[in-house]
Amino acid sequence: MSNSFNNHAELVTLIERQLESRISQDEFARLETLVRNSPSARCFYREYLDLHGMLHWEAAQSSDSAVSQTVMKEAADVPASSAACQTIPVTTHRPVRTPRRFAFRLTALFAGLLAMVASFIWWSVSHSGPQMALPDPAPVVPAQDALVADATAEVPQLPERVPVKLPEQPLRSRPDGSAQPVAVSIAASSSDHGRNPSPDEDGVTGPAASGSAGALVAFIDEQIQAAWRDHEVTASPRADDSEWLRRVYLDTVGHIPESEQVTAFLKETGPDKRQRIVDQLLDDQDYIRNWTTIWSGLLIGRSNPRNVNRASLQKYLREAFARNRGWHEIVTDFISAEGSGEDNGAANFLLAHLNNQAVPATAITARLFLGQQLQCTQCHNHPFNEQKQDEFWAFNSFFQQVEMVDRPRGGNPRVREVALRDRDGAEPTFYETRNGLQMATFPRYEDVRVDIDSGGRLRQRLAQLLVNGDSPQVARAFVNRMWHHFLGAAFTPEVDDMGPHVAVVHSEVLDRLTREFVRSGYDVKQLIRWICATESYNLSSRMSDGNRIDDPSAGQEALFSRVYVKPMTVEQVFDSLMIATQARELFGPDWDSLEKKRQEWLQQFVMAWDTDDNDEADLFNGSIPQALMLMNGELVKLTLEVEHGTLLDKVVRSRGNEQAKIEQIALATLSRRPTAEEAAAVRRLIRDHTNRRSRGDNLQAATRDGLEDLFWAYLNSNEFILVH
Amino acid sequence: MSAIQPSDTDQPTAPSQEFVELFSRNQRRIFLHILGQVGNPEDAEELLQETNVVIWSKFRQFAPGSNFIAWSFQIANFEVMKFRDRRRASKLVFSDDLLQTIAEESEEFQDDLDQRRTALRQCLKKLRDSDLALIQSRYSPGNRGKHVAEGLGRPANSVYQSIGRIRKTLFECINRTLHAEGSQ
Repeated sequence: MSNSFNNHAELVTLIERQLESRISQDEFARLETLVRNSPSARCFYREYLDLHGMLHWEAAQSSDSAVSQTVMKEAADVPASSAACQTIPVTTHRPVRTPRRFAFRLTALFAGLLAMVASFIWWSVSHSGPQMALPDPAPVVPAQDALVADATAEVPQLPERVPVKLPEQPLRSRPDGSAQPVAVSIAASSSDHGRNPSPDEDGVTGPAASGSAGALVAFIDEQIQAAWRDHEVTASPRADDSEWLRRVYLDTVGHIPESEQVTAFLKETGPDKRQRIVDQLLDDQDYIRNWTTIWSGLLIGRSNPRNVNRASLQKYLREAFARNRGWHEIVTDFISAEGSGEDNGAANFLLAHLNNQAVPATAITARLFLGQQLQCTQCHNHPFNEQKQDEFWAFNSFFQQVEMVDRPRGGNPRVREVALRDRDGAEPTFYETRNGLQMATFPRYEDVRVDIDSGGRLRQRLAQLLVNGDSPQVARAFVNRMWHHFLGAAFTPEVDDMGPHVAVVHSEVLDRLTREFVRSGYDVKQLIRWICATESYNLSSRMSDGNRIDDPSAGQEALFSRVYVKPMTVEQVFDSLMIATQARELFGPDWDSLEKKRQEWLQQFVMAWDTDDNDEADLFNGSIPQALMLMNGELVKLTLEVEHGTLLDKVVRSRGNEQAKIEQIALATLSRRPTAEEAAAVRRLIRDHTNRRSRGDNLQAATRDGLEDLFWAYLNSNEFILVH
Repeated sequence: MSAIQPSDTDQPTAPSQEFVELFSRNQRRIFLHILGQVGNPEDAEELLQETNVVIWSKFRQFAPGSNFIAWSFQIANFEVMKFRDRRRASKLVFSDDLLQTIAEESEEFQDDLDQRRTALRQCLKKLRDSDLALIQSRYSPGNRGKHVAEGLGRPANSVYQSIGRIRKTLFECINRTLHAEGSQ
């Protein structure tokens, strides 16, 4: 929706002035012109005034006191929060069906599991991003006492799981990894007790694959190892199969593996088992879905700008990734697209960004496809490069030659569509320098000036220039982005900023990968195979004593002596929840209904960060409010409560003993076997439930409660929410 | 559509229960319809009062079962035209033909008002505390951005900026909510 603001930037400014009675006659005349000339502007105007009117109306309705206003009152009733704790954006809940059990569970949960699962922060030992988020057990204690007292007596209607006092800041583990003693002990013991590594788990695979691919990967590994030696760094150990499988699933198909897939993989032998999984995932339907999601987010954002047909764009992307089309072709399509967003899915990219003299189109094209930050050079020269302002407008000039037209669709005057069309006569682009000098420039890219009189379509010429040569910037930028996606850090400090002033680590690796990528015909799947086969990608994400300085999030050069931890995207969370709980069928039989549900669910995260910058980039950043939203969200509750068909239900009904059931849940959520401590804690919990339950209840119900608690705690752990 | 009721009574002397309900249920809707044309809530309120007077005086002309909204909008539109004539000197009112276009489109668009209102409630809850307080203060009856600024001792311009920003946030939030409910 940010785009509706971009498209109507002037309109909003004028309306805002009108609403505060600050509008001049000239401005009002301008407002009238805008509103008169465009149906979409009128629609926008109406909706904006509706908002103004509703706010005014609701306030006036209960005017006895200035503060007690119906709507706003309700809003103010949201749990008051101290300055230190952010407001918790609670979504409204339907009445809790079994308040007593929920209250009960809260007690048990925080008493037992949370303390244990919270200790998984060691996963993110060096991760500088906002940490998710389980409340430190300590501050919970008062609440817990109160609940214990209540749980034995008749429990009054208890609030949801929210009212836990949070620690003042997100849990940040100390660099030495000893944030909590328990963390260390579990970390240390996990390999002894929990994992039961099969003898050939870590078969001597090595990435040495066949032919030239093997040579390329070997080259990359050598270069990276050389840097380890230079920096006197010891790489983290190779990731065990559980850790690696979960990671490659999330990175490639966008969700965690199912528990059966984990057990099958753990059993499998053979030196090429990891490679086989990569091949298998690249052929998976969810590969297409994942990359469609990622790229539609990058291209048009997660909200739905006006003039843009998201479904059509996604259809285009699905087809492109399904056929594994060369990346250069895809970029060409986006840059040179014509026609309406309905007919041509690729047109939606420019339709979303062509407003405002095509400045967004220029800047976003440069950022996404070329890894260049041009926004600032729009108004002034970059300190590092004299020519920058001129360059910006010369590049922009390509996009100024295309316009958006509002036209009847298929000859039907009642149905409108917006389409891209090249302007008839191309013109130079004018801009103003900061000292007020009027300048003009022509379409130009990297010193190749395109003659606007020569006819032919300028944007196609641009696309040709962009993908010209054996290692054009388009390919470098894509390789950098993909490397970042899989390894958690790019060759440059910011994945989108590869400008001349930016230091590139391992530039020889980037160069070589880029050339090979171009030679392969911009084969995206091949690039993924190469990256997944590197030694670095197969390392553990856990930091060791030997590579503590390898911490790009702390501003250090990335050495790739481990895989860097990253928070899941909100889509990954949703899809992984669906896999873990097996609740997919709850939302309807078909793909569309699930997608609809996902969109809805996603909106709550969009709105949670709906502030000044309207920044959509880090929707789900694993911070405390989001973690709470997840824990208390309808979705988690629903998928846990439902009686039939969900994983929990199947596990409860399955024949195995307690240990086996606990293991099934660990595999389904964290893709690994439970640690001994976890298993013991859950068994205690189940006994607890049994003791507390009054007569008439059976063991199965108590087991169910215990397992449900475990499930819930796992889903809300750091370990679940991070890609590691 | 029973345009004519077989009447054992003559002219009713008081509006029917149905009429009263329709009347009260649609007050907000009529208000927004007027606001879309005049732009200023105080003017819109005044015009709503005048419209209401006419609606009450003409209740016998309303055929039960027919479209109350269309009927009352017509009355409102007429009041807006009169208002425009009074304000002709002021240049801050749209011209007749544009008013008419807006009025027509407003009738087509009024369906999602209730959803919008619900969405607004949700969205208000998502504001930061400080933003909520500011927007509450701005819309407390009789208040204006200018007064808010004086009360806070902040420069008027910065307060206008903040209020505008919050409104934009709410606006986006509402549209997102509706979009999420509506399609895909």
